[in-house]
Amino acid sequence: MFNLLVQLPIWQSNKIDWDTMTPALLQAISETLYMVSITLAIGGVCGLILGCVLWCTRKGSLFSNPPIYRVLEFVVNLIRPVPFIIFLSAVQPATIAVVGTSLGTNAAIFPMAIFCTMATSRIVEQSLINVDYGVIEASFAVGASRIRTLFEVVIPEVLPPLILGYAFIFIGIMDMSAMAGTIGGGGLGDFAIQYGYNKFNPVITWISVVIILIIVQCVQQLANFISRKLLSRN
Amino acid sequence: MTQNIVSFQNVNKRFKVKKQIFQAIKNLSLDIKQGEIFGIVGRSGAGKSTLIRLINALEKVDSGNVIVDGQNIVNLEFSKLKNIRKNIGIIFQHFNLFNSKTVYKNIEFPMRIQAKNLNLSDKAKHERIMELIKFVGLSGYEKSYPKALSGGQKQRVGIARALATNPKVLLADEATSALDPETTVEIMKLLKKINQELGVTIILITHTISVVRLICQRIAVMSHGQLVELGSFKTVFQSPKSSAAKSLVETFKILEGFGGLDV
Ligand SMILES: Nc1ncnc2c1ncn2[C@@H]1O[C@H](COP(=O)(O)OP(=O)(O)OP(=O)(O)O)[C@@H](O)[C@H]1O
Ligand SMILES: [Mg+2]
Repeated sequence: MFNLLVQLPIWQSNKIDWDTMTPALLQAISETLYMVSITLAIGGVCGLILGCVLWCTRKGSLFSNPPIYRVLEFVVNLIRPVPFIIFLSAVQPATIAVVGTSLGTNAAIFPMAIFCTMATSRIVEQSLINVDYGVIEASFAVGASRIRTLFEVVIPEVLPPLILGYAFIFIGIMDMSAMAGTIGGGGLGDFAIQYGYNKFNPVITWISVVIILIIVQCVQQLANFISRKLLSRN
Repeated sequence: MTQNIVSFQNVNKRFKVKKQIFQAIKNLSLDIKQGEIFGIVGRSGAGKSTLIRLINALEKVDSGNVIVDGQNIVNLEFSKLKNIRKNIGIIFQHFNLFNSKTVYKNIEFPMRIQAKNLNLSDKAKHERIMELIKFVGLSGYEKSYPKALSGGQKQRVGIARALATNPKVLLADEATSALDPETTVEIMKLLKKINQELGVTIILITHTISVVRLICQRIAVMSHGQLVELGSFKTVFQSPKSSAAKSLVETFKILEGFGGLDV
């Protein structure tokens, strides 16, 4: 049985040249980590802000403002369902205007960050909706302003689900980063297609898959750990 | 002559729900004296919560005046309202503690918010928090999170938090409704101690007759947004005049074992 496996053509016909492959792989890993972390940093922060604004402007919320809420909700709902790969092409002019080019890793980060902002904002808003209004009233009752209530009471209350939400977002960004290869963004997705798929060398693809799984698992476990730590209190 | 700490003058409060206007408080006038424990009773929906939430402006009146500690709080700008709120503590039926903060931080929060008004050094603040924790009987729990506490302990934290800014008035909206009878008695004792030792005026809403009898010097009976009866527990209980008070007293008597359930 094992013999049969070893004799499969995959292993035989495509001897992997590790001398050239190793640097390419390392570069792909670093490109992926770069794209994902910058996207998470920009999109995560912008999404947190947008999510808070969405929640705050909801009817009956801290800064209730239905017109603003409706506009923002419309924009978020408009962008989110668009398949990322299409969105990527659709915002090309904007990417050129902002980044200066529509090719390469940095060019990929722009649409990724926008998409990440939209997805994050919804997750943030959903977490905030679950905050008990009684806690907000308790904050008002001691004289806290709306802003201080938001930052010192509401956001800390939702931190555990928020951290899990960010892990979820992270997986979404990994997914987007793989598609960024199509515009020369590089990364593990591009590596898998270029050296694996196009050269009929599935082992290369599988290596990419394993590395992506490892990265995702690490982040997920870390998020679970932090969230559980925070949850053990509330 | 004792001063009025809270006065309602011809207060009206309406809520609009789906284009329907509902009058929750109808032309209500009432004076609450400094230093007393004042009970508000009445059936569900009578407007009790709405009334006491007008005192710290969690709800705003539509017309009339609410005078707290000599100041009309109607239409106050936020910074002035904040000063007023320093003098009014509130405890809730469901405690409303900050789950992400320890017992210590829950009590510290109002002091941080009111830092300018309190003007305490870090050391004085710390000492006051520890003193409050001891006062409500929670020594050793300062690092605990609310999740790890029993209902009674949570309400003690709520009380300590409400007292943190050294208020003149403590509002208690069904503060013991979620607690068992023994814990209720313990919390009542604590409230009485707060009233006697700290001189804090307490305004409490309750559905439990024994609570009113135990600690309230005066009670108000509310019905459909109006004040229908006002007086000492004894007066109201022995000679209720309004139909709402009569029906309430009848119910109380049955629950206290002075009558049976006639079906
Ligand atoms: N924010 C609000 N919006 C609309 N209606 C409200 C609001 N708050 C209170 N009401 C209405 O006002 C009336 C009085 O409510 P309130 O909570 O003051 O009653 P209560 O006497 O405290 O009752 P309970 O004993 O059940 O707590 C109720 O009919 C309630 O539905
Ligand atoms: Mg109520």
